[in-house]
Amino acid sequence: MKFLWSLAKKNLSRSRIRTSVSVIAIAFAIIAVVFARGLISGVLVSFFQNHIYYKAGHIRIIDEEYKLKERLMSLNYTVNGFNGEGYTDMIKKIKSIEGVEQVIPRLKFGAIVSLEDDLVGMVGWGIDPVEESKFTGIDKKIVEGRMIQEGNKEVMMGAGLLDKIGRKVGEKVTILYTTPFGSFKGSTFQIVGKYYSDLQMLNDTVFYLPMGEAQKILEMPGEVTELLLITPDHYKAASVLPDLNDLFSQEDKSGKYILQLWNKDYDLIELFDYAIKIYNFIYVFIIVLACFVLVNTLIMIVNERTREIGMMSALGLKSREILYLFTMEGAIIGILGSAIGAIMGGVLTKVFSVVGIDYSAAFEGINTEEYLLSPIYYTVFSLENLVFCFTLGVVIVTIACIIPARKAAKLKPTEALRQI
Amino acid sequence: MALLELKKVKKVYRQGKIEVPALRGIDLTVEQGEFTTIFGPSGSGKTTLLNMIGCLDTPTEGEIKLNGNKVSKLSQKQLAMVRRYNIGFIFQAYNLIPVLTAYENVEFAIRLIDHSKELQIKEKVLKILEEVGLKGLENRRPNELSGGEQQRVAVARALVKEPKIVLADEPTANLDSKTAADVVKIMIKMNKELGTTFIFSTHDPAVMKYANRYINLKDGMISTDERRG
Repeated sequence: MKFLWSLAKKNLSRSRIRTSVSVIAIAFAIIAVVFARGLISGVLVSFFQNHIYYKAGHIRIIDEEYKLKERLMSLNYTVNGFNGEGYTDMIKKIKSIEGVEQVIPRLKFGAIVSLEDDLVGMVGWGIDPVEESKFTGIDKKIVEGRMIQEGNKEVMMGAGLLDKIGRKVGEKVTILYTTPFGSFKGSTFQIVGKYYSDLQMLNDTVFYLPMGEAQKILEMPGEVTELLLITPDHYKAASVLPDLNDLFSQEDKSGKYILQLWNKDYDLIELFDYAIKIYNFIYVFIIVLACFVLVNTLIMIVNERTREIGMMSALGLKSREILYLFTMEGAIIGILGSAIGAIMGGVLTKVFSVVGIDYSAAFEGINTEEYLLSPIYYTVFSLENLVFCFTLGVVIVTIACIIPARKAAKLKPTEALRQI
Repeated sequence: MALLELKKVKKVYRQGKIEVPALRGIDLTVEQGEFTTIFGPSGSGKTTLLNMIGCLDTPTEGEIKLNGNKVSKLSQKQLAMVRRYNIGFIFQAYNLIPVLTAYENVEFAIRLIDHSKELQIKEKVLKILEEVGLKGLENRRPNELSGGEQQRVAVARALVKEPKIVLADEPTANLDSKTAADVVKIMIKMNKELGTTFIFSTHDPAVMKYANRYINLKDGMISTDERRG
């Protein structure tokens, strides 16, 4: 078999242009697949990260009714601890579970700022500044001023929101809101920080204030709208659920809380799961398309070398060995094309993992606030992607080559030798 | 025991609904070491007969025995193995592999049956190439060799595995008379030195004179079968 492998390699030098065209076709397909996988991974990483940071954590604890009223920013279905004892004790108990690294409290509420002739809607997030910074790194996004501090009546706003209300860091702003009891109230805060986020929702609509202040103005001591649990690995977050369920079944007599895993109970995440499966078919389809060039080349090769196949058959080569010879010729093209494609695709993915792809123009006119979509996506470079695409390329190309190779192997020696 | 025995061998080709008989009942016995030529007009069945003897095809009727073993009913895979170990072929158009050197073309044939070490294979290949007069041309590719040289490579390729029988279908048809005579002389030399049985078809009287057995084929049947010298 070794000499057949050696012959297969030499045969590729018969028509260098033809071999090169086939290699290039495979390489382009692999580049496309490497880049597409890198880009999709980038989109998913970005989306999942935003989803976890600003929506779901790894596991979210909310009141069951809140799930239905969340869009209305209801403050009547809150997390107020086990049996109303307050959320801080609840956090302590949850943190004692092995595998829970952080518990992030948030109190989200709707608010408005009145301008001379306009009202600007916004969402206030009461947060624990230390925990929130540790989790989302929001303090790193501050472009002017400083992070809010617990105990002070101050806010930090997104750059877009500050523009909307025409305020600057250092100025004061009066924010209007409704308490859970239906009272419409207003409070004045010092603007101490301005952050910039490419996430439209965060930049244009959210302002942060210390949790204590939020609870005070809303008259909700010991209450938050949600608790986000963080584990060492979000893909393994489900492993803490049994202990968490045990805790809640023992402590939560009311049974009003629900535990939402970051990748369950969210329609868009499930949609992504389906999309990934569909993309896998598309990757295979792209390579199969490129294989048509190679299969065509091999069919030509078989036709041109019919007499030679007859001669080899006369020398005593079995059909299986002729099949092997031609399959190997295709496989070598597949290996070369896939290797070149994986390397070039890797370089391309690496470059765009740094410079990113700006989708701002495509997002114009689309309200991305709700979907946590960033306008710039960075491809994800990974060796796993390169190895996967290389292997996929080699396997599909080799399988495709069996079609013309079988044609060669099935030739009768007497007919092959008669060929002119 | 005869090296080759054909009993009432018939071959019929089907072209659509029409049956074309190529061999109409051949009885033939060939002994070890014979140098046989098959001649006859075009369409007389020379190539078909060589194909049957060479196990490239199976007869429609009749029986073929090679070295006492019945080969007329074997599967394609079994026939390939018979060809691999017992039969050498020399073709009119040489049929060398263009990307391989003269050495590699010969090596290709022996690699199929001989799994000896590299050095022993090399010795065998170089020896046979020297015997056919190609010493010094081992590393040339077919396109760097003349027609006569290419056919010598083909002869070396057929002989290197020391087959029981070598079949040559008009091996000199593409060569000028002097080169053709040289190639046939090499075959005779090998026939005498190695005792290899040669059967070849030809139209060329100048080549035929070197044979010691002459089989005249006419309309798929043997019309004359003579031995000389």
